[in-house]
Amino acid sequence: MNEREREERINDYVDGLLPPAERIVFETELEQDPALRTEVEELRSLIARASNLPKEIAPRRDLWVDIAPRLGARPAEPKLTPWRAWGDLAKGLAAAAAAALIFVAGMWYAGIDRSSSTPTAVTTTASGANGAVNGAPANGIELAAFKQVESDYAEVRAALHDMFDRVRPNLAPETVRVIDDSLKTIDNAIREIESALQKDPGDPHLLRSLVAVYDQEVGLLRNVTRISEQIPTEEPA
Amino acid sequence: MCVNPEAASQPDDSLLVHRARDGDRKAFEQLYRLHINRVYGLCLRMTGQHSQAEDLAQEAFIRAWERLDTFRGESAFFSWLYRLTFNVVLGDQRSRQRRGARVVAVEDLESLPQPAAEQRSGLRADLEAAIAALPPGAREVFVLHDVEGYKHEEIAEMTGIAPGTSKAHLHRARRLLREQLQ
Repeated sequence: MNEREREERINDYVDGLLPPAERIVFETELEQDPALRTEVEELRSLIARASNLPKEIAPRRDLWVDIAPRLGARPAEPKLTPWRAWGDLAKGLAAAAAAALIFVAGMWYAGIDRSSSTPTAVTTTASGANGAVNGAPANGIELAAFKQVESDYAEVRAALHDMFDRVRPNLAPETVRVIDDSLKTIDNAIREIESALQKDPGDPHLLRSLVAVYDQEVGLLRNVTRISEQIPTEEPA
Repeated sequence: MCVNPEAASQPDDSLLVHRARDGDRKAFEQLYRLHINRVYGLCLRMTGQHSQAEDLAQEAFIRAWERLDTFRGESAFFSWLYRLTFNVVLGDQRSRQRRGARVVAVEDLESLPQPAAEQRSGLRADLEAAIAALPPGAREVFVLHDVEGYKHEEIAEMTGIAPGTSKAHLHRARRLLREQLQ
């Protein structure tokens, strides 16, 4: 046995890593070899001293004064976090909702235009404030087209709500609260418009407003699910 | 002998981490106050220099702030922070080795805190100084194994060396320390 093997054997014995049979042989040698006993005792003493060293050592000064300004210079979320995601979400919401509204509502208005005898320009906006059919009651064909749009929205909205429920646990509570509040506001708006439509089913302003609110809801939920997919899972530091 | 770093984690860490992850710097400062001594202790013991340890401890907390979003509470926060700190120290040491700079200011270690019983004899100061004078690989493994209580498999995972290499470093460190302390 060379010196390296001897050293490894002594260390393994002290660390409890020797197999049982080898440990019995080693302990027999220990009884017969005072130098080996001394070596083992020294090693055990060193390990005991090392393990008793304090784990906590206070720095000579408060390091926080240097850390705090650097936190300001380097945001906490280089990757997308739920909170930042909500910031991005809020910023992206208006644009997404407006784009979707212009497309979907535009298609619907175009349908209304095609059904009317007078060709007119379609100038819808995110607010749904004006359009070619301003003030003119929707006829039966227009209402049927709207019902189809409404039905399509209902499917999309249901699917997106299911997706939101699935990703909800991954989001920060504050984020969920803000989203829920937004959805509640949207729901209230939908109920109010539907209530008004019961009194005047063909009112084009109300129909446009309803489509606009649907679009807002769909845009919000699409952004939530899109951004939740970017929230990273835990990874080693 | 074994000191599990997870035991050092405070029960309210998770709440502070949650708040800090949302950008609450006060909460992060509380986490700093709770764990700085343990983080600094590791940095100082691994480097042997107060100024370098201060820089590394700062860097560890800044990196923790930046990466809080990757901590999802599946392990104790301190365990995560400790490994992050170790990675910061290891990265710095490798960078220094590449530059060929290895300076151990043993005089810094005289200011390490000492329990009264050992302060008189200077035994602890001797041990701290001897640890600081070890070659980097041996010092890292000795600190992690004999001071912090990690197993060779864990050290291998943290440092990227083989468990057998970790053992070889440890045995060498112990031999050198015993020679120095005799």
